[in-house]
Amino acid sequence: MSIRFTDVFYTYNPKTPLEHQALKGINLEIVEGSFVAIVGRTGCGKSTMVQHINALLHPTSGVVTVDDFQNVPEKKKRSKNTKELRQKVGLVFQFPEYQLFEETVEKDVAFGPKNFGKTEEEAMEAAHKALLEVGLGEEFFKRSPFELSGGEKRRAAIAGVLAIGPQYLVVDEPTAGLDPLGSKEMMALFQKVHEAGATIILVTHDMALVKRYCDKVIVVDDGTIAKVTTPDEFFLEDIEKYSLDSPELYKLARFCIAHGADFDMKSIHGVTAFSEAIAKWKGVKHE
Amino acid sequence: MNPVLQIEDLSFAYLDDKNVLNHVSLSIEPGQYATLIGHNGSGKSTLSKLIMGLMSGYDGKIFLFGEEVNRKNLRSLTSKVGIVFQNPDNQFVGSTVADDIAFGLENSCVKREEMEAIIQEVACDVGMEKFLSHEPASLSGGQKQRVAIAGVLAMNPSLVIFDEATAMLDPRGKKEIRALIQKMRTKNPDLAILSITHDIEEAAASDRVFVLEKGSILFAGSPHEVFCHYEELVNARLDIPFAVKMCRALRNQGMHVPENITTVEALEEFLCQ
Repeated sequence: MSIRFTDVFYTYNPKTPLEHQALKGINLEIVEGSFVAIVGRTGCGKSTMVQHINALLHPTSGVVTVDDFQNVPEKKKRSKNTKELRQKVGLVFQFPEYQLFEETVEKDVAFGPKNFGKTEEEAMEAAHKALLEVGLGEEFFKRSPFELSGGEKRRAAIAGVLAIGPQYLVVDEPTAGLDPLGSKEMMALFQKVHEAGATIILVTHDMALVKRYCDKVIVVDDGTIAKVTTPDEFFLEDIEKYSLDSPELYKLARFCIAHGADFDMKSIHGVTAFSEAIAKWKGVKHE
Repeated sequence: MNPVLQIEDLSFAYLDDKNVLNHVSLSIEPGQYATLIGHNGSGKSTLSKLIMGLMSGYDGKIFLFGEEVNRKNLRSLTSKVGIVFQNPDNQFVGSTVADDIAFGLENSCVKREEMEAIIQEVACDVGMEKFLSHEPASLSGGQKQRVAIAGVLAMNPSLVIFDEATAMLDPRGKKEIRALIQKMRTKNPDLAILSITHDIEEAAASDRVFVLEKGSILFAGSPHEVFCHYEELVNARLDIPFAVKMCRALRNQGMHVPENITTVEALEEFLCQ
């Protein structure tokens, strides 16, 4: 079971002066159980791409397969089980806190499961479970979502997607605007969801997250897949050409190499290992 | 010269709640690039709102340009303080870029001829002169923030507060804004900056760092003076600049690394010797 893009093209506003081809032949497979990062500059087509996974957009041509569901161009006969697909694929947009709307936190989170046919009680139970999972305890259940802090709002919004119990979770810049501690907690949450069996697709500009959490990196550039690789391999090269920012450690390592250091980049993982390599390069003996 | 901003023993609470700010004191000199770091909810944005005079009812004193802020002089003093907010979409009022930049000038009754010259100049300063007739909605995040900065510069401020102004931008947008801040400081060496940020590398490269934790100033000083409190910062679950972590690891390897290195650039320079 997996997500598969086959020759996917997508054009916004076709046959108008605003026509814009966002996807130009995407071929890609995301296997079940992985934790992948989708990276690339703003406007490269990342968000357009992930919106095909739960059929918010239909390809202009080509096919996107999610398990046994097929997302095909609109004019062709379409699968009737879009609802089932959207239960399977949870999509968390950027700044999801702007999408809260109910009068209490628990009602907001229960909206999804209820919409997918759960009874009032079942939906509430799923909501409570999801809220506890994102770290919002009982004291939050009856509060208005609009009274929460920014980070709490975002967690409530994510609980709304988790309550549906998606197998595939697509998250678009989930840590933007959070403080470092909030980011860590947010990523720990996705890690937990991943360990419970879900496939996580993380759209991000934060390369530190890619390095720490993902097993695969998909680089999108100008509507095409520029590269599919592992984080370790990816950071060995200069990724500025994709308008991405290397983690500081790799910037410094490349600087040292340019100044004559002979590092095996593959063995440099953390600050400690890197400092050993530098000390060796500079000829410092460890006392 | 007087400090641009001086805060003495400032405490503040929202309705009946416990104090959001506790006896905060700090000062920023002309030309200084100061950063304020701390967790979400530590009181950073409350502090910026109090400085801007957007809320009242605090204990303690706020001085702007050497004068204590009170009800009578609030408007004239804060007119020299500009603020750029986090969300580029929430700060537009005009239907075109030029209209938007003009907003502050119109409010302070600047003559039309003068206004046009100012708009042209600040739009050039932020590199948006070709976009004056564009709709703000059609711009990228970084471009929107540059227009917001132009609107602030039009008022010829002596202090500009950036309240997480790059948090919602992509790496390219962040770079653009950082470069622009440097350009603004070169053009006007007396311009003071207060950047409220989660970007620890930005703090490491600034002149002065204030760490706000649970409404109180935990540390204040040069980046070196602040980040040498390594354990305390880690215990408060705050981030440490990469270069500071790296220097510490290098010292553990027996290398003699100068104490005052807080940025990757400085570390590179040292390693090249």
